[in-house]
Amino acid sequence: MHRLKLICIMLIVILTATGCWDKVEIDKRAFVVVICIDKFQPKEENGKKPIDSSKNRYVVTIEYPNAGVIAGKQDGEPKFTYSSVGKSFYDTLESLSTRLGRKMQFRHIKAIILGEALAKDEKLFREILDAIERSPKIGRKVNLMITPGEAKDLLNTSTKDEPVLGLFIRELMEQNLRTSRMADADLGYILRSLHESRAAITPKIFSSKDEFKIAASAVIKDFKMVGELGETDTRNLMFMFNKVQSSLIDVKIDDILLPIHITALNTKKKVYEKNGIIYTSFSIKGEGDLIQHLFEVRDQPLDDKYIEKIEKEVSKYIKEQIISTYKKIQKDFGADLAQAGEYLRKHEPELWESIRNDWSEIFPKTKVVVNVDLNIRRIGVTQ
Amino acid sequence: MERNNDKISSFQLGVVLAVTMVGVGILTLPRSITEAVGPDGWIVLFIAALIEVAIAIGMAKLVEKFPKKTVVEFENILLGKFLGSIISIGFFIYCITLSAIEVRVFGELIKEYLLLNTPIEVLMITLLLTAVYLVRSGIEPIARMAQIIFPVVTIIAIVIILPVLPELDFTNLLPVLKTPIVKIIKAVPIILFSFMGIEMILLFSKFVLDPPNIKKHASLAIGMVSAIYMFILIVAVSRFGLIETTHVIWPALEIFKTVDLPGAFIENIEAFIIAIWMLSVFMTLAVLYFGASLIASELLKSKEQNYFALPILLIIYFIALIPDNIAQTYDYIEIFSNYLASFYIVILPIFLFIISVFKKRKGGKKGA
Repeated sequence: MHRLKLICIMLIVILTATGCWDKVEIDKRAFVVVICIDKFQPKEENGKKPIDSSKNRYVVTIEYPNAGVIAGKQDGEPKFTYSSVGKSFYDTLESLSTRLGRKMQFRHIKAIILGEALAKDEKLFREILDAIERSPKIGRKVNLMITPGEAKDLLNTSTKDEPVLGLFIRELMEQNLRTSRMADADLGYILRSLHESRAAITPKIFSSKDEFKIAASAVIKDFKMVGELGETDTRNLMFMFNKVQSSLIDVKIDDILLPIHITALNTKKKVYEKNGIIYTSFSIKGEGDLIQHLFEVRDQPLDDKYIEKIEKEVSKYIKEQIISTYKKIQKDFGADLAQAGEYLRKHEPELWESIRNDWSEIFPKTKVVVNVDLNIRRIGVTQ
Repeated sequence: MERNNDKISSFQLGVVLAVTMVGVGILTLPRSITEAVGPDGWIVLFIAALIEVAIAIGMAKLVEKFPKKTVVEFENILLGKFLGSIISIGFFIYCITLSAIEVRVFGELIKEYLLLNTPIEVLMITLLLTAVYLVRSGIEPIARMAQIIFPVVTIIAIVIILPVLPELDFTNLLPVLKTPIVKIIKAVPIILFSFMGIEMILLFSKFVLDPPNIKKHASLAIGMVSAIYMFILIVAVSRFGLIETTHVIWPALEIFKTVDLPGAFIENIEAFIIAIWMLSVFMTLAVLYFGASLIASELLKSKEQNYFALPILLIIYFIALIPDNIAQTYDYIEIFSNYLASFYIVILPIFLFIISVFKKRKGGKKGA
């Protein structure tokens, strides 16, 4: 009996004392903030391809901050970047880990940046999308971006005030989502929209010598990048999505340039059928401020008739903008970025059932109707 | 050694039922409902909740006729000794299988999200050993534990979801009622799995001080649980849309990956949520486990149930290890909830209820 007790106690000690399989000290963790993924493109040397080029398909570059430096406790490199090649995304990560003294942690990823060559390759892009979606560690608030050229080149650029790209991207997105010059499209939206409409946009990121810029957007259709939308078109698309919180619009009246600051905007989308043609309508209600007029031109802004004139002009401008972007989407990409099909599925299920199979052909033929009702509320402190 | 007096109030019974119902079912609920009926999931859930309330009231009426007796004892009165024992053994198997399911899904989830290198066996054993401790203590500590854990779990989970609310797109719940009625009716049994645990009324009524109030508190428990389910379902569907809700294995957890708490100080709250959810699974397991050990002790007519707690651990553990992977686990769960669960939740109580009415009329006060 005594021996039995002893054995029991020993067993319990063994069981409890060996507990921590997953223990990793915090200074042994590499908190990856950015992953850059590129398509592997073998460089030809002397007309011959390198031997291992058939094995490699991806180039993955990771960046993690030196936590001690960020906290201001140590000096040294603020960030580390590593790059490796491999057959699949995880294969590449594995070969990366053979070169890292720390354990990679992916729970704090701020951005995943894809090179354009990869985004245009349907198979690779789908592999990456699934790897991201399937991973339990990567959250849905991550920014998925596409960069022209190679993504890993971005990490060679360092900005003046924020050395770590991942943190910089996060700050940039937080500051600038309001201006609606960049696409408000996080991973959650992209995955959802690709599932529902097979089309989505992602923000684009550009780098120059010592600066980054996030603007415009890349268009993804049928799981590959098919083109891009400029800054204005991206903003117009954000109008359609009802994601604009504030924006700046310039109109010209009597040869005076008037910047209007849009302070609130609400878009209602409707898709309906009339005489066999499908219409997409956007009715927009908004408010704005007049923030600039012309020096020493009196009696204009404080005149109600004049303000009405501005309102009309702005409304007309927004209307034209949206129509032109909608037509561009139809003509250039044929991609249902406006999510009109999804609207039909929800609100007109019978109609949708009858046309869902031909939707990719029907969408480019749909017509767009825009109604804008914009009120100028404030004109500043001078007449 | 008398640790407790084995008496609980009917309110405590209600809380015990509520924690038992919120287990592993909640994680997959949005997916399984949406797969079956698309956007009309909330209607199905509502119908299922009403049916559950009816069943619970039926069960409560039944146990009211047999105060201080568990189902194992009054089955013998109603059905005869032989049939009664067989059904009780089945109930025992039901309890341990359901415990095993809870343990297995718990292990899979912790390994996927939190502890990647820890063997799943260790995760399961740790949970089971903790549960044994509670089970051996008896019904009263379990009820008190439930009283503490239930509000903590639900309140924290709901508060954490709040930042997602502005991003919800309720149009994802459209179109309403375009699913064929047959499909909706067929989907109701799927949700039964999420309400498994209600049949514990049959077992635990023995300990209740005020049996007439069981009806009220059991219905209240179901009401609360279905409110939580409804909340999770609507948030998941309106956040992810229909297609992604069916694409993700555990949508209820995946919602928390879309939560971005202001300030960015706290990230990755899904890990935190799992920790909270762990409490809930622990309670579910403890209750079912206690049920199993109670049935065993009643069948073998032993004085105390706590001798049976440890041996049952081994059975649960080995059953939990049977499926090869997560896909097979969910296949087994489907079979289980189609047959065993529907028998013990729906068919058995109705059957017993009818017989008890019949017997009472015929044999006077035989049963009451």
